Amino acid sequence: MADSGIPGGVPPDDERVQQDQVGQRPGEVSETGYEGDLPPEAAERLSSSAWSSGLSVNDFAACRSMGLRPVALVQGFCVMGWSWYGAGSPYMYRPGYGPAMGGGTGGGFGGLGGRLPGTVGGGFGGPFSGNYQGGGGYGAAGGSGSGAGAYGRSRWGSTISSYNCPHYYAGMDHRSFGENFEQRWVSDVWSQGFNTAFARMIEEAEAAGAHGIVGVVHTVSSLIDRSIREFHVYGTAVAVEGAARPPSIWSTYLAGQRLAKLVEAGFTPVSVVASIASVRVWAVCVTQALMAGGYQTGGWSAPTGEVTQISDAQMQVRRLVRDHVKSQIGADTLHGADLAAAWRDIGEGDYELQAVLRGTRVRRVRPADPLPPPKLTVRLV
Amino acid sequence: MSFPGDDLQPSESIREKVAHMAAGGYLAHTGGRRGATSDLSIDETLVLHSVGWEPVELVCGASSFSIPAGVWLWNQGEITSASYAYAGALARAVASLQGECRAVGGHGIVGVHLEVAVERHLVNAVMVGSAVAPADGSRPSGQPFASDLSGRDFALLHQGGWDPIGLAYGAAFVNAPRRSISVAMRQSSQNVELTNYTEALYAARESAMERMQSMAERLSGQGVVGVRVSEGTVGFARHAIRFAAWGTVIRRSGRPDRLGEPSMVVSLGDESTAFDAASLRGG
Repeated sequence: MADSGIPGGVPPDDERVQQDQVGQRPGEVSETGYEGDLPPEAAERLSSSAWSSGLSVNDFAACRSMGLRPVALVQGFCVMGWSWYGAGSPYMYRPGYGPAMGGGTGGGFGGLGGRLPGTVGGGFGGPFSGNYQGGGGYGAAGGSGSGAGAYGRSRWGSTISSYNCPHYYAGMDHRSFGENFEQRWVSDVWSQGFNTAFARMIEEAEAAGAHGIVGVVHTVSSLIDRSIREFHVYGTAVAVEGAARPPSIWSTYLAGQRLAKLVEAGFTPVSVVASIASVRVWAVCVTQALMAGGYQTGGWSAPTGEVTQISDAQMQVRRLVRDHVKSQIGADTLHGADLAAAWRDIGEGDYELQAVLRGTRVRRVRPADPLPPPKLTVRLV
Repeated sequence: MSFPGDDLQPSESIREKVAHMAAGGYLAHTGGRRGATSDLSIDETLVLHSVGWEPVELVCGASSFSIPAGVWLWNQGEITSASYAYAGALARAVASLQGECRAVGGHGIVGVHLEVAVERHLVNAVMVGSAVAPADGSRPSGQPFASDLSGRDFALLHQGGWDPIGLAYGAAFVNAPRRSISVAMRQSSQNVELTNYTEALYAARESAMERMQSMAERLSGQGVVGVRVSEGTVGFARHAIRFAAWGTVIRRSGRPDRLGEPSMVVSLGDESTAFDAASLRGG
């Protein structure tokens, strides 16, 4: 189990073995066959004869009627380093100005060393040579890779769309170039945190001898420090009397009646799915002017109307997160999707949009049995 | 003796289904024709399915319009640039929502959540909903509809012989009128109708709703259901008042009304008839 000193990831094997030895009481691990990286306290709790559950009494009753027996409240936890700023961080990157992002340089999200600018193929040369060829129109100049291949794409993310200045004269402080940039380093860290916590919850459920996990709740919070994100996934592990041990454990955000209806509708929950997308907006002069009411320093003004770059970013962040989830669910269905997006001002002409999409991945296992069409009733009470 | 509904019993009990699921029986299946995403609840999915429709994809539309500098100064009458930006952002957001819906083969979008944020120089409109299509896989004809009705409402309208055809909206930003000193003096000593306020707000409210209705006409709808009205001041300009109205445009589909007369049911759930001792004391 990673403590706050280890920014995410699974601890090395030797450490894990030590933890298991500490947590092991005679006969315990061999009973469950479990040899994961959970803290000793978890093993102790899961081996207790009493069970705990996060189910309400209604949900508990509904689960019992389906033949599901709660075996334990299971949880997974993962603390990730979440540093947003700092010398040499990817946040310092501005297209055409600041240190460009190195192509594949650096390692790890935690250390400063990994974030020191790689400045490979960036600087002035890369972006500008690509831009001015574009004709100088204002608007999306195609997707990533439309300019010189050396810019805009790295392990930190990639350019989704870029915007050029329509003006003939550009002063030093004029934003001749803007882009919407998918910050993959954000989604990578987030996914790593969520997936690690999720995997640990599954480990606990395995240790408890469960078939599935219902009523999953997941939170991402900063309890200790804003530069630390804590991913917490928990739910109630359930087992079915007499059923064979499953090859994999299913999980769902649903519980009780809603789970029963899902099953009756011909679906089976496969797993909870959550993903994030982050889009950074570096405004081009026109965007910046529009967001300041049509004027900017230097006498440039822009006609009012749609702020294309912002509209694009709003769409892109939601499409990206949906595509992330789609890539995880294959031919299955994402049920009960919850899409939450947030906007953040980082500086003038510098914004970040984040979208989180979560839901239950469900699979159709039998043709739907349609309900009878609805009828109108007047209910007398 | 048989009871109505007996024939609807599932062939397999839920316990058997759950046991099959628990043992990993679903792993043998490959899912649907293709992946789908939706933010509908299971109830909405079921009720949609009961009228032969199913969710296809979670879709979104977004647009940001700029509001020129200087429009928030305290003037007279309507703040037209703000009204224009608001309407423009909504129109573009609906257009991109419909574009996404077309791209995924949906016939329309139900349950559209509308979020509009008005800032000093920017109107941000975001719409998220579930694209739906008939389960028989028929091709969409014409423009996809957008509707902020729930899946349940959609199913009811569908059964009742109505089709949603789009979102209609109207907005008006107005300046609260200034009072002349003599009027203010006269009104400060008594509680009377502040007619200049009444007139200005009345007119703004009417024009927002009128814009919504004329939009419904342009969509060749017969009416607007589920109209919601939002009003309030704009945080950064206290004298500016915002009115917005939106709803789903519907028209007769040409299909017969299959809902028929409502039947009377006496529910045996007696949650409202619990003995209430307070009632004996007339309380």
